Amino acid sequence: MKAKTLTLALVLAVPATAHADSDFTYLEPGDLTPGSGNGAEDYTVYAPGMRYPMEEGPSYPNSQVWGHGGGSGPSGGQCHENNYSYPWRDNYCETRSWSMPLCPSGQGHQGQDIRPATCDDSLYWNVAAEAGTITNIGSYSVYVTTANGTRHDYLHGSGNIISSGQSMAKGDRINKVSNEFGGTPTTIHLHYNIKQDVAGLGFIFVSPYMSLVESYEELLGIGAEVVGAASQEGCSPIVGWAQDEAEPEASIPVRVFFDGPSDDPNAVGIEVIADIERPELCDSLGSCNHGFSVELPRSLQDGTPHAVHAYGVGVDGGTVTELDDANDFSCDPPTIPDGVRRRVSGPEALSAWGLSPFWDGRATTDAEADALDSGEAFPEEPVVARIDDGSDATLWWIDAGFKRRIASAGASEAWGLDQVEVQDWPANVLDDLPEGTDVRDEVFMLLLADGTVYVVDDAQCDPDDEDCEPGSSTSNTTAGTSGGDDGGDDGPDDEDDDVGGTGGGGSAGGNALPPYMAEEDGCGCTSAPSPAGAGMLALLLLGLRRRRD
Amino acid sequence: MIRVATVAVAMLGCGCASAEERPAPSPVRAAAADALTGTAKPSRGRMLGGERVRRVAQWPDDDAIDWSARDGLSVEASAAIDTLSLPALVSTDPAFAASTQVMAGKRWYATWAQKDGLTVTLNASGEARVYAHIPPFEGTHRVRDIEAFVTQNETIWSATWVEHGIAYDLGLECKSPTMPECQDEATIIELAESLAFVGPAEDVR
Repeated sequence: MKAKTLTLALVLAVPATAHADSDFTYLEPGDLTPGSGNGAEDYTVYAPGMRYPMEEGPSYPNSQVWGHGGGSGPSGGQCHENNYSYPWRDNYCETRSWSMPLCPSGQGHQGQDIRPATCDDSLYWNVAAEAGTITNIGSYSVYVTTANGTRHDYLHGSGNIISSGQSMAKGDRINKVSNEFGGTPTTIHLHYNIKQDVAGLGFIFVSPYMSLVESYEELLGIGAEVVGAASQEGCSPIVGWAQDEAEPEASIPVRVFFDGPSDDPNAVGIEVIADIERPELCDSLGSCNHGFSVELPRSLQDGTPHAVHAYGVGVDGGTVTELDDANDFSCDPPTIPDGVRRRVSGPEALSAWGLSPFWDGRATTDAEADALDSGEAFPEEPVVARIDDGSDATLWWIDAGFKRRIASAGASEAWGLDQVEVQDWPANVLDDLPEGTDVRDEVFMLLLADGTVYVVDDAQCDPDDEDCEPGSSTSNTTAGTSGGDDGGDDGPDDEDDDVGGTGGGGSAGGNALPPYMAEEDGCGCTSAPSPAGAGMLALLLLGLRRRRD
Repeated sequence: MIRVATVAVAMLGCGCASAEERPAPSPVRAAAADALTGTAKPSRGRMLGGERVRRVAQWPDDDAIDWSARDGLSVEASAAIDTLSLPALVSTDPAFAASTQVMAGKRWYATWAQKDGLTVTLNASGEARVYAHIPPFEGTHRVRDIEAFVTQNETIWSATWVEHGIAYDLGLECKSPTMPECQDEATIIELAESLAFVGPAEDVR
């Protein structure tokens, strides 16, 4: 297994924290017990709004194997007081021989081990972290799958009081914390996993640590006194301010949820930092950097009302506070720009590009989509190249056999091309590629009801076609050509759709040559710009790998 | 163009709620009301819990339905298969098939089956999460001739792959971790290879 890249973002650095109203402290995610492996420094809350999976605190996530009483731990039994004290310690990615793509070593422990309040067997309840369905009761495991597909796993419990297929409300009891392990020994603890369908991987175990921290603070009622407000008018951005009264100088996170409150599994939440300087706040709040402004997602500009809920998060995390006055909005869909529609093969391609249907997609009917000609399938991953001799700093997006100028920083950022490692190509190879249109400044996607996603883009012209007008959507461009069927459902008569597996079929491979260079019957010998150039291009394309910072 | 004017409460302390419904605004809040009309460039921030993106099912032809495997399901499970929005895979092992239970959400389904101390689960997802910090990875194995990840968690084996446009996750748990079926990946891979498409057929979906 080899990661194409792995950059675990420090999304929001939350330091080890001591709270005035609690003894609770925790170590940073990824800070494993020394000698127990390399942790994942992942601050992501993968299950925002979840409840802590034990009914009550205190509770102590830490290592079982490297803790007292563990096989690799210091002397003393599992009931040693150090095992039942703060600070919390992450043990996701702790040394194991099991494949784990998100762990720095590619192997590790899939979840978090959690001890209950005391070293008593079958005394403390495990509860549903979110509402969902019991989808498995195994020998020593229980799975709860939520409406949005997230799976919460509970291992080693005893005394199940649930049944397969049962609907669970958030906080409903499941079983008691124990040491069930199919007759083999383990300590008294809950092994807790969060498993999600992640683009580019499939179902994988993600780090539960920060979700646990956040839900535990909520359980204990730890929280700051946050004040603030949010508002939205017409189709303008959502604006507001927020301040932690205990830390009045600090700029704090604000979470904005669309289509439901923060604990609604179908709501979509984003987080921004309220750090915009607003002179009008200075006098009243005593400091100025507390404003925020959130773009209105294009995908929600669909002519129907959408609820907005905004929350402030204190400097030390903890309970979030809903801000005053967030309200619904309803905006008509924006006009679809001219161009051709290029089908995106699926979440894997969106992940590779870093594109966001939520922000840049527009809800679209089949008829609206059909009004645009069908273009080349959208590439599976981006390729950016420049001439390797330094004679020209122009950056080019290599798109289906064309080179397209990245003419502005805005365009580069919009398409995520600024995150791509630039490849240095021989001048003759780049020169031989036909030049297409400049990369558009804006990403505009079409979102169909069945989940199909298209990118609206320029059609590119076969250089031998003198009548072709670049950027147009006429049929004598690459749009709709034999090699360029987008695989989309153009209606009942569209029987040529290639609906093969991920990344398969037609030109959906993303780095396909344009139709006039396409292989036919294994030949590949149509009018390529030059044999040498095409050969080099093919070799280079073989080695394509996306790199993200 | 604005179709519905949901007029924002630009000034806190307006008459939008009665005193009974909402406490009077604090002086701090009232004085800061002007901040609600900022002009700074709006932000997109960071998506919480990843961006959920639909997977579009690529349905096999009805000819591909394994009616033998389908007939091995209970009446309840077979009926549940017809309600699914995603292509259903089930084990062709008669004992597993007979014990299969089917549970479903809007964009996922799960099956559960047991035999001889083995518990087999299958999760299927029609909605992926895109995280900006998680790039695509190359799988560790190939199952069903598809790139896959195979791993174990507390001796519970799992294999995940994308097929028919959607993500599948097969799990195998042994009653005792010492059972031979859980000593290596052979059984989970064998189980994955034996899964068959059982519908729902085009006319019922």
